[in-house]
Amino acid sequence: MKNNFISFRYTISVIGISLIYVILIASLFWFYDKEKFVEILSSDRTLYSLKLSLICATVVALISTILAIPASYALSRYNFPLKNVMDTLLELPMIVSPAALGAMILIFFSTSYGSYIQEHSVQVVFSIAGIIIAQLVTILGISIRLIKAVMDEIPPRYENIARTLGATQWKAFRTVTLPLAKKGIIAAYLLAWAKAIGEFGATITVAGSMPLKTETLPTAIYLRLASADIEGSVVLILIIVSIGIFTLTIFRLLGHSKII
Amino acid sequence: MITLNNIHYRAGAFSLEGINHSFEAGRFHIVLGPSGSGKSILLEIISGLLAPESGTILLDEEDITNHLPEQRNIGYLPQDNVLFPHLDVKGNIAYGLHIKRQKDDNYIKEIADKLEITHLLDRKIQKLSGGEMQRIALARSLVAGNKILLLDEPTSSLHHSLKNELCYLLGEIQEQFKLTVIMVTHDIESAFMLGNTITFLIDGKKHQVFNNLENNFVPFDGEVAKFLGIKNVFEARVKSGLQAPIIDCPALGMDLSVENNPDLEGGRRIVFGIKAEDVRIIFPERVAEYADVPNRITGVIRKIYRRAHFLTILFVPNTGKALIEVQYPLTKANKIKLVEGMALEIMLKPDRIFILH
Repeated sequence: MKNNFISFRYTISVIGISLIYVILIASLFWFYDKEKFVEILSSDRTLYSLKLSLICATVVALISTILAIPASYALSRYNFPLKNVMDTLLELPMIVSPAALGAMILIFFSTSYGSYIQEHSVQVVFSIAGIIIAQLVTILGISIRLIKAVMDEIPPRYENIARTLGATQWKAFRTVTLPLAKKGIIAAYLLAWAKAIGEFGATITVAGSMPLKTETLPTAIYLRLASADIEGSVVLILIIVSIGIFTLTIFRLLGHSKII
Repeated sequence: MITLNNIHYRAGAFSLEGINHSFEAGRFHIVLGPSGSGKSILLEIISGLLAPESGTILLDEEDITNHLPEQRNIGYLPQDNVLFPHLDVKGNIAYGLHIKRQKDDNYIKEIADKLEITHLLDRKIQKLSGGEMQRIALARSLVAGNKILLLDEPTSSLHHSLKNELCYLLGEIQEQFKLTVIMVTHDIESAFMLGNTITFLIDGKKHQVFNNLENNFVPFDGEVAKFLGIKNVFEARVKSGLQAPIIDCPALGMDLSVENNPDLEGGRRIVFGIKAEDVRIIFPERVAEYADVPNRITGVIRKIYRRAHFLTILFVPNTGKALIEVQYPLTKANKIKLVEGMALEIMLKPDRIFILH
C-alpha cells in the first residue's frame, strides 16, 4: 500500500512535467488559423526553409555519423596519449552556447587561414556551406557521445573471436562490430538529424538569415516572431515539433529493440 | 607442437613469470589451477590476443610471437563461447569460411552432424541452451579449419551431467579431428578426465606437469597439494634416511615409515602428505592381520561427512593433535558402522606417502 503511494507520487511528478510541454504545444493552437496555415505552409519561402533545413540536416547528420564512427570506436577501444583532453574537447560543443560556437567559426574564417580557405575552396560565411559547417560543429560531439555509448556496449571479445577465426581487424570490425552497432548508429543518426534541424544559434551567426538563401526553419521562426507574425511562427513551430516527435518516436522504437 | 619460451606478462599486481612449456601436437593438454592464476591470460597470449612482455612462442619451430591472431590459425573458445548475436547458428558456424569468401554447405553439415547440432542450424542463437552454444562454438572453430583449440573453462558453468557429456564430446572431437587441445580449467575432475598431460599453474607460475597416463598422481609441492584439497599435509623430521626412511611427525605424535622416497637424509626437515583415499581403515576383526604393518594409528572419529559417493571422516590420533582426513567409499560403508566418537585404527600406506618440495 505504502509502495503504491510512493510510486503514485513519482508518477504524478512525471505527469506534471510532461504537462508543461503539452500546455506549451497546445498553446500554439490558440493562434492557429487553418487558412493561414495552408497559405504559409505552401509559400515558397516556407517550402525553401523546410527543404534547406531537411537537406542540411540530412547531409550534416550523415557527415557527422561517418566521422563519429571511427572516433567513437577509438575512444571506446583504445588508450592513447591525450585521450582525456580530446574527450573533453569533444564534449565542448554540448556545453558551449551554439551562438559562441558560431562566433568562433566566424572568427576563424576571418583569420588569414580562414580567408585563404574561403578564397580557394568554398565560401562559408553567409552561405549554405556555412549552415552545414555550423551545424556539423554543433552536433559532432553529440554523435560521438551517442555512438561511443553503443560501441561501449559491444564487448571487444566478439572481435577477438572473429580474429581467431581468420578475420583481420578491419574485417572483424566490418562483419561483427558494425552490424551489432547498426541500430544504435541509426538511432544516433536520427538524433543528430533532429538536433541539426532545430539548430539555430550557430547557424544564424555563421550563415545569417537571408530568405530563400540561408533561412532555415528555426531562423524563419525567429524572423517571423521578430516581425510580430505569431500565426506565421506557429505554422513553422508546428512543423518543427512534428518533425521532432516523429524522429523521437523512431529513435525510441530503435532503442527498445535491444542492440545486442 | 606449441612451445612457450620464458613467457612473461604483467597485469597490475598479477604476473606470469617465465613460463616454459611445450604442448605436443595431437594431444589433449590441461592447464589446471585456481581462479586468478593466469590461465586465461596464457591462452590469450597463445592465441595472439595478448602480447607477452618477453619470451617467444613457437608453432612447429616457427616463431609466431609477433603474428596477429588471424595469422596463427589457432581457435579460441572463451568461457562464455561468444557466439555472434547478429548471426543465426549457421551464420556463426560458417563465419570462418565467410571471411575467406568460401562457401561449403556440405562441410558445415558434416561438422554439424558430428556435433549433433544439424537441427539447430536455422535457429537464432538467443534461443539456445548453454550446452548447445558450446557445441556451436566448437563447430565454428572446426569449420574455420583450426587444428589447435584453446578452451577456456568450458565446463565451469555446467551442471554435473552436462559437464560429463561435454567432456565425452571434447575427448571424441579431439581424437576424431586429431586436434591439439589446450584447455584451462580449475575443475579437477574434468582435468583428470580429459587431459593427456596436466600442467599446474598457480599464481602465475608453472608448478608441475603430470602425464595422465601414469596411474598415481602425486603432488610435487604444497601449493599443488593445497589446490587439490589434500588436507593431510604435515611437517616431520627424518630420523633415519636413505633406503628405508623413518620420519618423526610431531603433529601425529609418532614415527612413520616412508617408501619410494629413497633420497631422504637423516636429520632433514620435510613436509609430507597423503591423500585421504590412501588412508586405510583397519576393521576391528582384522587388527591382528595388520599387527606387523607400519604406520598404524589409533584414534577417534571426530566427524563424518556424507558425500555423494564416499564418506569423509575426520580422524584424531590418540598420540597427536592433528586431524587426518580419511575417505571411505559408500559402497563399503555397510561393512562397518562408523559413528562419530568411535575408536578406530587407521593406516597410512607407506608407499603412498609423498614428500612435498
